[in-house]
Amino acid sequence: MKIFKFLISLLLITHAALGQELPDSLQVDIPNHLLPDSLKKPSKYLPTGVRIGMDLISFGQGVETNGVRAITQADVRQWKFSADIDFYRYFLNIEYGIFDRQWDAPNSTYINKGSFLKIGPDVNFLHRDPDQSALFIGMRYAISNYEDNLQYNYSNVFWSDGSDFVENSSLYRKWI
Amino acid sequence: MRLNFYDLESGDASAIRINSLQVLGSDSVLFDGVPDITTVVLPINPQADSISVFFDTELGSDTLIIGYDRIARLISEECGAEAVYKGIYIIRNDFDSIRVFNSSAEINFLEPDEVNENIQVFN
Repeated sequence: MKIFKFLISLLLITHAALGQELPDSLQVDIPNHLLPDSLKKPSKYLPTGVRIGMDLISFGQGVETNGVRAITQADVRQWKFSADIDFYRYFLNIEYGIFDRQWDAPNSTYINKGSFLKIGPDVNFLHRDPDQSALFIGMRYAISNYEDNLQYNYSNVFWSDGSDFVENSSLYRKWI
Repeated sequence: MRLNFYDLESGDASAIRINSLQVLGSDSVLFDGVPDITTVVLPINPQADSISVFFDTELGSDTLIIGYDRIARLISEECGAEAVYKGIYIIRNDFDSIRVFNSSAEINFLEPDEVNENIQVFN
């Protein structure tokens, strides 16, 4: 015990006298709540940014198929957006997409439209990686609603020619 | 929509003489005094969710009401969409026994002239 006290005293005297930095092995981590406000470190769970993205592949497919109409006309929309925000190694993700298409044929018009929303967390297992690489796993809760309808003319030997309208309306799904 | 006749005891196809066969909503008579047959193709009404068929056969008069769902379906980007008739079910019948063998009246694209068997009637 006496040896221990001597060593501690020696270290303090040495430190005070020489004004040297303590080696890492002797530095003490003081809990954040004991520090004065001016020295407190920000919480590691404080978000550092928000990332917003757009699915250019689906958008590009729409443009490839329909040209500029994919941007200007509502009947050929095919867009997907995503956003996430970080909380240390955890991310909260939101994805949203809409699809709205119309197929015209000589005797029919078919309209199909819907949207989806996905929300859920990701966990990054490489959050300390200096290259900012990520290896993560996540889960999503998703809901979607969609509907389609077909207006068509028919030729029928027995019932004679006519036109009809059939639809699947207000279809709704949710999944994980 | 195809309807086939079977023998109630043996389960084999059984020919029946149809004196007349009429469909409600149409003046046309599908059959009128035809020889014994084992199968009839019923006309699905594109404007309604059911058809009512009146049989006058060698066994007597029978009424058959068949319901179905009309739905839209996208085949592909290139082929477009089609209307299909599915969920065939029996609303009313006077036969000894009847069952829905295949509830979908979809066309077989490999054999478009072939109408699948949908309903089996046992007398």
